[in-house]
Amino acid sequence: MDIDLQTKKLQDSPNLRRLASALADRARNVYDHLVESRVMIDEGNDEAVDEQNSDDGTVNDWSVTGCYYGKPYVRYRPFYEGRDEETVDDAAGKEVGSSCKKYFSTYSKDKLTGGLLAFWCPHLVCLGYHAIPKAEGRNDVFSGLYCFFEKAPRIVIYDFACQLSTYCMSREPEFFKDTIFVIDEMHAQGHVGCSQASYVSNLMLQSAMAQTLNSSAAECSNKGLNRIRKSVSYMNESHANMYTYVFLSLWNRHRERGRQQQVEKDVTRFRGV
Amino acid sequence: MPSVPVSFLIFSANSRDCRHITAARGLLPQLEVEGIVERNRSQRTTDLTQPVSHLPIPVPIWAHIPDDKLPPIDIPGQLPSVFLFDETVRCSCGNTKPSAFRESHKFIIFGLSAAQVHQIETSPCSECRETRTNTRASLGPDLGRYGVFNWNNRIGFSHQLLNRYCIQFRRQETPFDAFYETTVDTYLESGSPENLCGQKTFVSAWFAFVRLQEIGSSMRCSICGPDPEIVIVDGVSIGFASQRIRGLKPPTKRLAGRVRVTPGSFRGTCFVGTRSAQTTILKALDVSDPDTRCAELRSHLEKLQTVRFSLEIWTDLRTMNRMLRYLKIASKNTVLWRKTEATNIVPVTVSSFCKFSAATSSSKSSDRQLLIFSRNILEENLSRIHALLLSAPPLGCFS
Repeated sequence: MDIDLQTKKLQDSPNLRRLASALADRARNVYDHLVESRVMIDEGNDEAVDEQNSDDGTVNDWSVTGCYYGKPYVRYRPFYEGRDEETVDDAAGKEVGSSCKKYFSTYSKDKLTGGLLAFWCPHLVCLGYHAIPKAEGRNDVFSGLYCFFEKAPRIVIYDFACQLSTYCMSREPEFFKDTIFVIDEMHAQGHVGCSQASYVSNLMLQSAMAQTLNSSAAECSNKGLNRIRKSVSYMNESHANMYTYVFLSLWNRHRERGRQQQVEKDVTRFRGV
Repeated sequence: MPSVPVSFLIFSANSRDCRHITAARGLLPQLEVEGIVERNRSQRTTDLTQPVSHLPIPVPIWAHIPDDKLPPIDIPGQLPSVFLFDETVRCSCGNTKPSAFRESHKFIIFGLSAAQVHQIETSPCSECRETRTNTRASLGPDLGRYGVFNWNNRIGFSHQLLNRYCIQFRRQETPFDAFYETTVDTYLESGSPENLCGQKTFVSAWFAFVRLQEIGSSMRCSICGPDPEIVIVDGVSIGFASQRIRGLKPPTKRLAGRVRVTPGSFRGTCFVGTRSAQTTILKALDVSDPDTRCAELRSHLEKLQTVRFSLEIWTDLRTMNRMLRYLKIASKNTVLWRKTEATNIVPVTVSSFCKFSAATSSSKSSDRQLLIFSRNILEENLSRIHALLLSAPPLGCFS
């Protein structure tokens, strides 16, 4: 490397250190505040909820609940006093004072349920889904992550991540403390006033893990899911749940078979070499 | 008045009672008749959801993965002309105990391109003779080992036909109607001895079939493992008629416990400083010339640097409010306060701070407060703060 350039880069470092230090201080202050302003009033009895739900046979019956993550609940979502009763039209993404103008009203059809929220891994495998009775909101993503994931993911990519981050951190700061919420590249165009930290493109510059990431993987998968949209719209609840379940199961099996075939192909090629 | 039980029928779906039904229910007590039993119309209709086949069905070869417990079925090339009684017999009501009487009758198997006519051995069911079941009270063999899905001892479907629909709707948008009509045309073309069953029966049979099929997925990526590091979330507008919601329970609805969270806005928590400060710093970071970049960064960071300015107020929180008003600190500038202990530093805006002061002025007036100002605010107002504090005892102190 050019020595002059290296020297000049080093000249930047005190400034950058100060900037990083200010940011770190700020993050620590905010996190401490969030943790300390959170008081558990009633821990709730998960077993009681399980029993209560199992009376009608719906505790983990995806064909009734429309919710399937391939595993039982890890924990239940508590009610957050001071947050959940806010007069916010969360489903439509309209929060008073929110700078983001990305609304989800286009998703809500008048006579149909709110749709399906699906969680995907970067390899296009569906990790779980649940049917939304009314309209998609941040609560759906928060509850899905909090209730079914033992440990919060390092990176969550969502098209409304700019507001999801605040939503999650204000409720469960300890659970989400190591999670980065970013907007996928395709939807980033629609977010004009959001922080630079919300864009996955900026994360890709910094994180090796994110560099090879297909942030719009969910869009590809949703394109697949659209194949069942018309059929489901004419079904009753149990048929819709079953139909969606079969489709996503077959989708995952197809992905798994594809991966195995790729491995076999690689092994064959390696042996040939 | 009659002494025998009286029953009346409700001609509506379970939870969509019309106004006249509600009104009739209200007027029932006036009849002064005892033993009235309410029955729903659905109790009269035949249960079309329970097939005779009941054993788990393996997934087809094109969807088989190593984790599957059941191997794909090796379907025999020639099916027997008569399907005899075996150990897998069952009625759609669940009864597995056949009577001694046996009878043989016609059994149609709907295949991919044509139907085949066979014979099947059945036995009357003693359990469901009074009720209307799919099989009309008869026990028959499961037929899963022949790759046949026994629907009601009169008709059955080849696994290939039902699996073909799975292939179709996974690859391209295929409503039941389209697939059904295509199959009907195929039957006509191939000169099938029997026409395909009704569409409603086909749809019911397909759902019953996939319910038995071990087609489930563990919803886990073999590369990412049980706790994936990266998760991509997206909603898709796949919904059914909202009036048909019966038991949907998303995780948002299943609540346990209560947590109190201090209400307030979190708008300013992402970055130190205002949006203009963010923009100027980001612009400075993007400058290609190192000297200019250094100079710009230094200048902007000077403004950002916070100086801890400790102010202890022992009794009078109104002094604090007065001071803030006097300084005319705009609400966009962040003020941090802490409430006695050094561990609890909380970011709030000035407006929130004032609200806090007002709320706590009666009960917590002896709390010590720590203010942290931006350096530029402090430098500009240091003398005024000092003067203000001196003129408004009890005094604070700087550190």
